[in-house]
Parts: sequence; structure tokens; C-alpha cells
Amino acid sequence: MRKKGLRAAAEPLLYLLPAIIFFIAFTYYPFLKTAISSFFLVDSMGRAKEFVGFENYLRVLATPQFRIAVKNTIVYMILNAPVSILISLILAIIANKPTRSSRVYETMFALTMAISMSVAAMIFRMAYNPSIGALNHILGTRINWLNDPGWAMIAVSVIATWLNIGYNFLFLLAAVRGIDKGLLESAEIDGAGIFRRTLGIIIPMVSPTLFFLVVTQMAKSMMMSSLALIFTNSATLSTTANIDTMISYMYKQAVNNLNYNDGYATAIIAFIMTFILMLISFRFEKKGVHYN
Amino acid sequence: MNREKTIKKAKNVLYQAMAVAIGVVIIIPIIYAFFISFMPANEIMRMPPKFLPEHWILDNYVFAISTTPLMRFMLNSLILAGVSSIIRVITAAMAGYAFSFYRFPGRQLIFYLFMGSMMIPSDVVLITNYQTVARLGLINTYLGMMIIFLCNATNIFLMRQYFLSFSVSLKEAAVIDGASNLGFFLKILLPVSTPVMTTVFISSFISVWNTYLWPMLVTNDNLMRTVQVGVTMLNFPDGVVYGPIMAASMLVLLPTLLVFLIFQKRIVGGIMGGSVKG
Repeated sequence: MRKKGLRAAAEPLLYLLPAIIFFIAFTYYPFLKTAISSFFLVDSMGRAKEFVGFENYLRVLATPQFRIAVKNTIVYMILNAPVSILISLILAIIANKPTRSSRVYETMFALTMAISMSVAAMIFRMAYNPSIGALNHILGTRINWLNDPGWAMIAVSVIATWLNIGYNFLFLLAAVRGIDKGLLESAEIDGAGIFRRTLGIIIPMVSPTLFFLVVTQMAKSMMMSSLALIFTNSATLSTTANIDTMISYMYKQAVNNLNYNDGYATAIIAFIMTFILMLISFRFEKKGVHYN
Repeated sequence: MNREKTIKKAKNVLYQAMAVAIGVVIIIPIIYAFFISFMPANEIMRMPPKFLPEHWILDNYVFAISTTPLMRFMLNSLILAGVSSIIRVITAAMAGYAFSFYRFPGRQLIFYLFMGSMMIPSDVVLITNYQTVARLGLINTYLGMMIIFLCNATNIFLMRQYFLSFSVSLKEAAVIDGASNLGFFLKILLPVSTPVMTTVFISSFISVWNTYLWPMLVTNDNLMRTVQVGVTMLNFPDGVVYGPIMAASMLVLLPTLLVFLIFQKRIVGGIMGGSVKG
């Protein structure tokens, strides 16, 4: 009887075992190790040698390249969280009314979801080419987008802004469609135009979804590195402008320079900054988000 | 009366035309790359740039496939995304089953442990995970590329939510009928859960297929590269660069685009359950 009880107690744990091992080995253990190692002097094999307190942190924070990386990350975040979400909201309002061709334009609005960063980077690099690219031709400009220090980070961020439209759109479309139809109809009868209806009804009603998207996109943006690495790593790409983000800076320090001291500290700084940003967002939630 | 109807109908058609036009603007980068991929090199290099090819050619595709290991990259990505998504469905289903059909000490704690992992971005632990994989001798192996994608907290959450919609009495009835716990899981619960498993599989497939950073980090052998890494590293002689790269990009895009178009409904359901996350 007792043996049977023990087996019954162990059974659910067997189902959970793969996940438990995974999260300990690839999430919690590396997080603790990164956090602890960041306070040590680490050799080029990644082994901790000597306790140095906050020395690694102070050095990273004083490095000009790292400060530029923080600035770049913030530019990226602004173009991704508010701008991309705003575009998606407009698209969701357009697609709200079901019509015969809804399926067609809904699919087009959502399509960027299926596209990878690498492919998008390749396409935009072509479009950004100063002489044969489409962008300068369309705008009538002569800007070397990816090599101009003033434009490079914006040009890189816009790629992600575009990529995120699909994902944000699908969320917002579901939220906009969830609004009580009667509410919008009675406002229309009262003579409220599309702008009044948007500001007065739609935005407050979808504010929980908007908030969710802003927070998740901000957190994701703080951790962005792929685009920066694609544009600086690949053989046929060259950019002389600094487009490093915090995580791509971490990557280059640790992987390219074997400087784990700066790598670990940068990882934890990026983590703490993201965490603080999230705490501030949740403070704001109490004021700006309406839940029914 | 009839006039009014016609005006209303015209307005509706106009509205749809506008919406489709905006849709075209959104996907214009893809259309642009599509046209370039069929353009001869001399037309691509022409100034001012032309957007529609005068002569449609397949050379760029032939060149991209025959001079680079693009097809090998595709195979690598297919193995990476396919196998890790299958394993992810299995680990998520097993964990979801334990959380929704068993009561045991530590259940809440383990659940919070799993959900708490979402607070730690994989980029923060990237370097340490790389060292772990290197120590295990998994650099340049499929297992090394897959290992951090084998389990996902949002997938577990989605499975658990789905399983919770079945009552525990379903299991009790099955056990009375002589089914073992494992038998109930495999023969009754999983077959009725194919919708949620499909959702997890597809969303996972798209996100792993599109991943760049981790597969780049753990491979340095050119033949082990995934398409996402490979497509950014293709080397062509100067002057013919853009055509083949756009052709390669189109080929890389095709699988996820097809999966997206076919399973759009499921993916949307998955998003709402929060399952699309690398």
C-alpha cells in the first residue's frame, strides 16, 4: 500500500521531469552562473578566478561603445513599441468591418509575421543601397542609409518595425472585434466621426491589449541583437556606423573578443534595465489602462 | 432608394479597394524582392532603378542553388525546426498533463518555476548556454542547435489551459474501464487534443525556422548552417550579388509563408494563447 502511494506521488513528476531538467539546465543555472560570474574576474575559458565586486559593471558602464549601444537600443525600442503598434492599430481599425475581401487584406496585414529577420535584412539592404536601391529613388534622396551614423540605427530599426506589424495587427484585430458593436453604432448615430470613435471608444476599450503589446515589445526590443549582428557579421555586408545594441555588444565582447568579464556584466545590466522598465510600465498600467 | 443602394455599394467597393491597396503597401518589400529575384544583373544595376523586370529570368535561382549550399541549409533548418517542434509538443503535453490531471505536493511551486522562466530572456543566458553546449561537445551538431528550443513555458501553459477544459472525471471513467494513467494520456487525451498540439507545433516551427542568433553561435562549419544564417553569408562575385541573394531570400521565405497561409487560423489561435515566442 505504501509503495503504491509512493509510486502515485512520483508519477506526475515523471511527466514533468524533462521540463524540470530543461528549465534548470538552460534557464536558471545559466542565469545564476551569469549573475555570479559578473562579480568575478573571468579567464578566457569563462572560469571565475577572483572576486572583484562591481568592477566589471563600472568598466562596462564607462565604455563609450556600450553607452552608444544603450542609446541605439532605446532608438530601436521606440520605433518598435509605440510606432509599430500604432500602425497596427490603424490597420486593425481598417480591417474591423468584415467585407467580402476581408480575408485578402487581413492576410496581407498579417503577412510580415511569417518573415524572418535575416530575409527582411537582405531585402532592406537592397532597398537601402544608395545607388541602385529603391528607397533613395522613391524619396528622391541620396542617403547612404546603413553607413550614415545619423541614419543607420533608424534604418535598421525600421526593418523590425515592419516585421512586427503582422503580429501586433492580429492581436489588435481580435481586440477591436471584441468591442461591443452596439457601442460603436450608437456613437456613429450620435454623429461621432471615425477619429472621435477611435479616441473615445476604441483606444480605451483595447487599452489592455495595447498595454500588453507595448510591454512585450519593449522587453523584446531591449534584448534585440539579431539585426545588429546580421548587418555587422555577414560577409557581404558592411556598415561603418555603430549599430550595436546592448545584447549585440555583449555577444561581440564574449564571443568575438573572449572577454567574458564584460560579457557577463553587460548581460546582467541589460536584464536589470529591462526589469526596471517593466516595473515602470506596470506602475503606468494602473493609471492608463481600463479593464471592464 | 435604388440610388442610395448603389452609392452604398460603391462606397463599400471603394473601401475594400483602399484596404487592399494599403495591404499592398505593407507587403511591398516582398513584392520588390520578388521582382528583383527574376531580374537580369544588368537591369538590377541600372540607374535609375527599375522595379519590374523587362526580361524575366530564372538565372538568379539557378545560380543561388547551384553555387551555394542553399539546399543543405534548407535541410538543416528543416531538421532543426521540425524535430525541435515535435519534441516541444511532447514536453509541453507531458507537463500540461501533470499540471491538469494530478494533485501532488509541490505542484504550484513547479508551475511557478516554469512560468518564472519567461522572466529570463534567452539572450541574457546566451553565453553561459553556449559554454554548456561547448562543454557537452555539441558544437556543429543538430542536438546542439536544437537543445535550447526543446521546451517552452508558454507552450506548457497553453497545453495546461487546454487540458483543464476536460474534467478529471473523464480520466476517472477511463481508469475504471481499465485504462492506465499513461494509457489515458496517450490513447484518449492526446487524440482529442490535436488542435492545440497543431497550434504549438506550427507556431514553434515558424519561430525556430526564423531564429538567427543561437544557430549562428553554435555552428561554424559552413555545412551545418541554417538558412537564416546561411542566407546572410552567401558569397557571390561582385556585380551579381543582389539577384541571387533576393532569389535565395525568396526560397527561404517560401516554407514559412506557405505554413502561414495554410494554417493562418491556427496560428491566430496560438497567438491569442501566447504560444508564439522563441
